[in-house]
Amino acid sequence: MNEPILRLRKVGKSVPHPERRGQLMSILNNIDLEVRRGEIITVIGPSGCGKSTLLAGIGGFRPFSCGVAEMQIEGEWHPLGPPSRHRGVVFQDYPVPEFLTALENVALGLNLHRLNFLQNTMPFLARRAKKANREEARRYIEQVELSEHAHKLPRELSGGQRQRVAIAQALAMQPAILLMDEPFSGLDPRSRESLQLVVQKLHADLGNTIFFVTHDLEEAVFLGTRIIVLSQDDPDKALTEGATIVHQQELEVFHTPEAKASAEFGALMVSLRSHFGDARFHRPETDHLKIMTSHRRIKPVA
Amino acid sequence: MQRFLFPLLPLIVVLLFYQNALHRRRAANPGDRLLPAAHEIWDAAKLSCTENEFTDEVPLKEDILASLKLFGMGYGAAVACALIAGLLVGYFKWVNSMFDPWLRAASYLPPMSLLALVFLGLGIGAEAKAFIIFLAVAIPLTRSTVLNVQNINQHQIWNALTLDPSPAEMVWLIVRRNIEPKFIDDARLLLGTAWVYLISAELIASDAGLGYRINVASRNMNVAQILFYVTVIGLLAFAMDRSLVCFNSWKNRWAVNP
Repeated sequence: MNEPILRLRKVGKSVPHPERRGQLMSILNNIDLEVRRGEIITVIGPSGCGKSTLLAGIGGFRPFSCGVAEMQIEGEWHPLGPPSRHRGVVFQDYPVPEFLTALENVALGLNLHRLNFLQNTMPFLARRAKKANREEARRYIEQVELSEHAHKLPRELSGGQRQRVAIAQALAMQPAILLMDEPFSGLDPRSRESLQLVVQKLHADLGNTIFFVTHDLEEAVFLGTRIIVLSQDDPDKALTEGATIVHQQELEVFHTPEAKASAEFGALMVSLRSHFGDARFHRPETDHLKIMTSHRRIKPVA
Repeated sequence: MQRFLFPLLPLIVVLLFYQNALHRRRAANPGDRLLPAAHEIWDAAKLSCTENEFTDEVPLKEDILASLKLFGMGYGAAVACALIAGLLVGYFKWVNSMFDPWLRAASYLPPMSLLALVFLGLGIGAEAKAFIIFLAVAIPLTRSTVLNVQNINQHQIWNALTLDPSPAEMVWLIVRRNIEPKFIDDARLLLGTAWVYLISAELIASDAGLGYRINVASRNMNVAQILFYVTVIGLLAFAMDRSLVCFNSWKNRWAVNP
């Protein structure tokens, strides 16, 4: 078994209550988790249960309010501080800088990390280093199969291609852990599947540690080497108690998308669903339907 | 046709009315100067563009240079300060808590009401007039820059923070480039305000400049020259506006809609 690189002990997050002034609302409560090198941890749970809050806490974007959160960097344990290059991140809304081409976006991190302010501001300084960074960035662009679009601006790329840029940008920093917050939710099924395969291939080649938040059980089972279910123990006390890890389980690795149709995959899905009650999980398609039907302003097309 | 000819129709109507009024006034008083004829405006323009026999200076050129110098000082300083201040107040929370309330308070004061104070404090020289333009542009531009910075997608900021930037790199290379197209656009919209304050300041206290010349002409009831100078001001403002549009679309190709 690989060594742990991230440890959360009794971690929680509370925020000011939106309605009751002066009171706190708990979002996450009593989370214990150990992430080992090379794992793909998929986090699943009902909408609004705090999956993204957990990710934002690990990334250092919105620090946890209690508990111990530590990370191993170069053999030493450090408490999780503000965001750093050791924790790369890919969000759902592919927020890569719009003003740089795909290649420049991937080289951006390398430039920021290796060059100083003056070198980064003046185009004529450190030309050789910048060229080397661009060449290195090109390799990451190739890994996410985007070479022919390297010169394009993000607005000229499709959602899936932009997400590939975001992944390459994060990978170029060689983070100890890569945080992905529902990265493929906004994509059409085909792009989603091809990106799942990209992530799987990168994991096989580079052995990254990935922390993958999703609300799609199928995606979680397909990609993960370990699945974590986040939920409120008691839905009635959701507002006061916050969510915690209610189940975790090692998963076998499925190498091809065809495996999703296999009996084992189906059995795994069924066992996970039955384990937590189907009602708590809605697949994106049904989510979508629910929004459509509950939204009064949308009139049915005659 | 609709695009080029239709805008001309209102102009033709106005010119017809003008011509009609001109004829009636000239019939009553042949020496009338309130409504000059086209050839009189042309003469005034020619006079403004020829060297003065005593001073060897071309009045129009001297006026434009004097005004542009004031304009450049005030507007240039305002844009530079607003960019720096807007980035700092918008991005760093502690700078924001320190200055944002004051910025908000200042934005309620019309700079024209400070004109007297500025003239008393700085005299009636070029600095005072440039300072008025500076105030009129810098405060609203800083405010809008702060809002633009705060409107940047939070995820993009978080994402950039994992790429190991120093705070200066974060502000200058990520945040500044993000807001640049909007900043240039906001600065462009404030060109009009800057012209208002420039001309007002020159009307009140000056010995050169476009506003000064209009003031002198109004004392002599030289409407022809006033009309010519108003046209010059309009053309200058238009040229500035267009060049900022071109600069923006050249510098920030990424923000232009395809």
